[in-house]
Amino acid sequence: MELTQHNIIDYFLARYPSLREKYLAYVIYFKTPIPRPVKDSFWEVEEEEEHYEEPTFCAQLMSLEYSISALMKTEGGDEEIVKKIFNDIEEILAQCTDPFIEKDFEICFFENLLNGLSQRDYPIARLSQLLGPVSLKLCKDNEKFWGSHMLEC
Amino acid sequence: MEKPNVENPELASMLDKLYRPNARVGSGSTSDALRHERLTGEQVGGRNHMQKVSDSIKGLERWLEINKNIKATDISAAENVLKDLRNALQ
Repeated sequence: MELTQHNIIDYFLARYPSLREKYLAYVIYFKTPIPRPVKDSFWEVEEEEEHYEEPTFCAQLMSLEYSISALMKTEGGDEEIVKKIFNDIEEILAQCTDPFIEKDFEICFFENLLNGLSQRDYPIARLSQLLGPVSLKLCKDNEKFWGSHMLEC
Repeated sequence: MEKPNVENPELASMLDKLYRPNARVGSGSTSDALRHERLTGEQVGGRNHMQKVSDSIKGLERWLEINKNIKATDISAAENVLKDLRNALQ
């Protein structure tokens, strides 16, 4: 199956069901409710289900990152699953031909991951051991932009 | 603007994602990243922060809609970051 912007998130949520709860709790903030049309009739009072505009791929990746980073703890985290997830991400990026996927992974996923590390006391060296070469390059490009040099520690 | 300190853990996590510690680009905020990109043309590997800023505005707006009963200082902090993001997008 070819992974695209439209099915990558479903792929991760199906493969790693433990991500689902946190993902859904976060992605709700990026869903814009679609206003309901004004009713013609006073009698149309039936409750309708709320409809939402789907979040962008960037927002979905931010939510995916939120759910994955919840598993990354200095103690008591689920390092084995995290390792598998990062392996999958590496494979997707290594095979990816869509430049937009790589772009969004860098700015919306890896940048968020790096931004949140120190708040959670998660060592950068431990993260870099989980990343494959393509993922690591995206993180280093991001580091270069910010001039924060966390990965050189 | 500098990252504000907030008590609500979910808001704290949202704001953490918008700031790079020890950055040399502005205050390390995503808003400053976009301003820097617009000013200098420099981007992250040819990419910019426009989409992330736009999505983060949506995220914080919705968070404020849903979380009306939290501490006033947290609401004010979220509103200030939102203002900064909107300003960067203009």
